Amino acid sequence: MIKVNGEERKLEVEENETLLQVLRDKLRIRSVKAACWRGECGLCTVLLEGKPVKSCLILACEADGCSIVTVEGLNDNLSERIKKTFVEEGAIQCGFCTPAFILVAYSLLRENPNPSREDVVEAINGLICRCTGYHQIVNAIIKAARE
Amino acid sequence: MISLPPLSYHKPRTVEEAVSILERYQGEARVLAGGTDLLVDLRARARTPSHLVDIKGIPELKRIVYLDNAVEVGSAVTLAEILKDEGMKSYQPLYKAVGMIADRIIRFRATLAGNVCNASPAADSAPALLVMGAEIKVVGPRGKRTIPISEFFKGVKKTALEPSELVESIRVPRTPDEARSGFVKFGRSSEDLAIVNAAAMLVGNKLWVSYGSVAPTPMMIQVEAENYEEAVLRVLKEAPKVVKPISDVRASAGYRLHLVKVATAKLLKEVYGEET
Repeated sequence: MIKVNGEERKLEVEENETLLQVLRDKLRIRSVKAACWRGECGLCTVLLEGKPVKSCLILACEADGCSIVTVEGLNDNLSERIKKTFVEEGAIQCGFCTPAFILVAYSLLRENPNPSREDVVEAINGLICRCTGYHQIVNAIIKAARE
Repeated sequence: MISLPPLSYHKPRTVEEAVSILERYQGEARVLAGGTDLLVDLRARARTPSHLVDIKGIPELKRIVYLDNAVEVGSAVTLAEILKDEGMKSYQPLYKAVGMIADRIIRFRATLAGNVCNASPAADSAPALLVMGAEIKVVGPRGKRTIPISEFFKGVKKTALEPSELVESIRVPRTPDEARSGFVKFGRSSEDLAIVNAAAMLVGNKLWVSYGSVAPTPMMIQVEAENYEEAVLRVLKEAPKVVKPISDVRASAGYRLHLVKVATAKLLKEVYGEET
């Protein structure tokens, strides 16, 4: 049993299946991206018990009983503000990495509502974006914190 | 996508249960803590256990315990938990090194014991633990034992652990109040594996310096020096005797040797409080 975006989901998984495979293939949550499969790109990031983790490096079994949030599960004021500033600051280009960045930005601002630029850079360090060059993303997160 | 090989997943609730599973599947089982190295190795078929023993359900392994003159970090404690713990800040240079392992997202999952047990020559915690004289507290079918970190690494990805042994905690002695320390890491980027990393501890005129990523296991030297200039000379005389770098995807052996000098200077400036 896992709780995904507030909803309890009971499913059978293989012991060698990753959380990423289960989220994408069994639960059809395609905002969780599959790319490097070795914890380098970070685009499979989800929030597990509120903390960002790379779901390609976690067995589905390990998440049994845990609460998982993907970008679809974010709909409070803070997340809406982050989505808005990402658009305003040009922090989205192809969009492939965006769900992961939004989730990491959200978990950072929940924990630290007033982060320094260094805090933001440190928080997104494990995520790769091939389009923006990161500055727009950092700007968007800082703007979301200040608004 | 490369699938993981077929696996049996075990989640014991006690240390005894974990050890008995490890013993039952002698050599076929491996401990799963954060999994951030292990799952990568499983996918690459670099390690081939058929049973994984997840220790995150064992409460006593998830604790940081402060003693009179040491701290014991349980083997299921994450790096993020260490960094969040106020008391750990005085355990330098370990605290600094932990903050530089991988990236912040990985650190929510990865553990100190995992960084050590994975036994990568580039493990960032290893040089710090070496200069601090840490010990690995281990439990197995025949009881408990303590392995000094200087005897723990046996080669690339090889440790002194027996197949049915489990790390309970890493015991780190309290740093003397007058001690000074440092940690440096050189790589393509901060989250990548180190090309060279190094830690130092200075107590009185005794200086310990440990280097990672320059030999199959992290290496340590000890010299006596009265000041920064003397320390650099002595360390750079001793270091070449223990560092035996290889060329790989990250750097050539020659570049690593060069970086050992650069890292030493930067590290010792940090230790002696010299201007950079």
